[in-house]
Amino acid sequence: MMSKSGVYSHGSQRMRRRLGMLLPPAILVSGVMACEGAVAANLRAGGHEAQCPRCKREVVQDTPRQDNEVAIRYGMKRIEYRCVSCALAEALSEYKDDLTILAPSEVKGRPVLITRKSGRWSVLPKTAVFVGEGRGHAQCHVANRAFSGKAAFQAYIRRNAGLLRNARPRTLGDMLQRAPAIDPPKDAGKESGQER
Amino acid sequence: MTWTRAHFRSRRGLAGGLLCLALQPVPCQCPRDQKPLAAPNLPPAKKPLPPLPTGMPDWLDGKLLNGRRFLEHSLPLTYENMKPLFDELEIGEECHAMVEEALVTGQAAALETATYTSLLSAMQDPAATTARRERLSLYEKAPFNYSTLGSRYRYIEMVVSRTHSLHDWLLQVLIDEKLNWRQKEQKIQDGASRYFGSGASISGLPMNMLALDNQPYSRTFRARYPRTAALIWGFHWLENASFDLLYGKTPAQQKAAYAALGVHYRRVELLRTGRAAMPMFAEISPAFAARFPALANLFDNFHMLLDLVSDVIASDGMTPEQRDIQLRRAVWLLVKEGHAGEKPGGFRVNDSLHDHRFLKGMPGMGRSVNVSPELQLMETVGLGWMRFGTCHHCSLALTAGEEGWRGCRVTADGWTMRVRCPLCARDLAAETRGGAILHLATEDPQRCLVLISDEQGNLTTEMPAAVFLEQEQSHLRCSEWSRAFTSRQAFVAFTRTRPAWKGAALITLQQWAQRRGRKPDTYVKLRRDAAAAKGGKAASGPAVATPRR
Repeated sequence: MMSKSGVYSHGSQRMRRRLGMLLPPAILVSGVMACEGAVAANLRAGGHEAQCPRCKREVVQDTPRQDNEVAIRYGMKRIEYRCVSCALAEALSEYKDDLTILAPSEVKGRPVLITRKSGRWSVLPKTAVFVGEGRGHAQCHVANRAFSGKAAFQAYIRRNAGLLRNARPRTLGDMLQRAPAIDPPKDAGKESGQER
Repeated sequence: MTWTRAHFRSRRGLAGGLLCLALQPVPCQCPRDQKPLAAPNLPPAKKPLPPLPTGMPDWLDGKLLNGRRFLEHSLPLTYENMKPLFDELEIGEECHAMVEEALVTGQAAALETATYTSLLSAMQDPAATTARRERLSLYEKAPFNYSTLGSRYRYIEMVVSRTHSLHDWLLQVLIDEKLNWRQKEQKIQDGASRYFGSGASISGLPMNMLALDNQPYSRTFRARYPRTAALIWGFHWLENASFDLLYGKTPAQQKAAYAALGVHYRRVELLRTGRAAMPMFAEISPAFAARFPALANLFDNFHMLLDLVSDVIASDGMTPEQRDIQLRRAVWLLVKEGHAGEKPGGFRVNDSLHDHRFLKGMPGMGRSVNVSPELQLMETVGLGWMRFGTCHHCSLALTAGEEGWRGCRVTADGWTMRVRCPLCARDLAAETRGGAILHLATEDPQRCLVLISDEQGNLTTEMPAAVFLEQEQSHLRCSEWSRAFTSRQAFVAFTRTRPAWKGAALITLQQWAQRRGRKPDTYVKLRRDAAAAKGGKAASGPAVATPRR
């Protein structure tokens, strides 16, 4: 449906009724998606608010001020995860070839890029550090994150002192060592009502 | 000699066949779901066994013996075109029969160990199993020509053999190169009419699976033998998946799609131990289920009957007479005579065994676990709740009516998702782990484009000349601005006659495969209250749509 100004009027009540849909009143269309460039193309989130394939909990969505969706780019695939540890665990167990993990940092739109190429792992920016604490998957998106540097890490720990009081900055090597031990929780899927 | 599937059609001839081949256990290929999960479904609390209903038909006493006559010789055997699929189905069927044989003859102790390993290796390597089996002579097979279950309970054998005959016959119609799609549809209707018009046939009404799976003995089999139960459900998944796999595709497309789907079946579906409920037909073959809802319901009901049979024969504490009564009752619950005069959508108050309400937008699916009147949880694929009538990617209503053929589908991770346009299909496949099969409508209702995606999302097709129109705008009109064409000429002819698309860029398959759309502006996250979803109580609650931020 075109308006006079030539812009699609997505929120039209008439269209909503016709489609039998509950369209949100303030759908953010192109503005939200206007990010450009190579990194931006990688950052384009999937169309779904899916479950994490590892822990089966909901992937926490990006907000206007903070990115939360961790993603693995594997060829043309882009699979979302709840936290960087879930993604690393899956990268080690489920994917054989080269891949890139887009781990949200403290700066929106500028993720830490964890790459595996020919079996060798690297991280960009090189100053990146991680918080990786075994707090269970209910809070795994809070206790497992990437940062561009130690200063950002310290600031995050101060903000989440209740949960991460004793956390220390971890390198990618630390995170990779820890990843295989991250098992799916026993109550996997409970959040989505999969239990009988 | 070549064995036709008809030789094995009935449950006679199944028992012992594979075990006697002395299969060598081979290492399983289990990339995921390798660890058997704790049994998700424990048997319900002990309840008294229900009595046998009155007014049972004669054939339940074994009076009608020839269960296959209704479709015999009505179609030449053309399954040679897709022999590997038919072989795989035969093997699955034999393995299922062997599990039942082990249960009914008191040899179930090894079901989760040695027998499981043998069955799994046979099912995961169908080519080798077929080769071994084909080396056997008819004489060698003859001693196993009747199963204990079949001989003891003739009414079960009759229902099972007739329904398997129909399944086999339908697949033969779908792969018959001599028939055009209109003739195939007519044949399918005729076959269904003949099946439902004769005795010992399963009902085509949608049923309340929650109620059926809540008998005093229900869930015993999968609680005790979770890995073996996963094999059986995995095989039922393949039986269901075979329909959309073959429906509306050319022989080349069918072969390519089966090659991809077969790998997924052997590596993932056979090992999926954490299912909340049996795989439903419309989850994996929604196009066929929407076109022929009675057949979709029939196969769901049939699989439920097989589950009930397994549960009865796996239960302890029943006398032979009680077992016979419960098996007769189970058959009665699911055959058409037990639901005479009832209609799809109808239900009886306080009698959930006669609840024929179906999922909104999908008349070929009754109620089940994780199903509400409007929504279903896409359990295996992890994409949350879905509506059958809407695109699983952009949440808008699917094209219907005269334009209904323009719908597209994506099969990935054990689920088939219906979508509005090629872009929705491509992006949905890219967001799903593992390989995928994209079924895209083109300008020609008779010719679809089938794309096979590997684990990295690389697309291949037997129609490399296909081109695309993709001028991304709001998804309100995605079925208009995203289209697939069989050739460059078809694209030119389309854009020439439509001013809105004059000068639109032609996109080759290679270019299109590299693209990625934005998040659909119309996407709506559907949620259900987890507590309400428990135990099927979800069926009464409204769906909750959460707008995206």
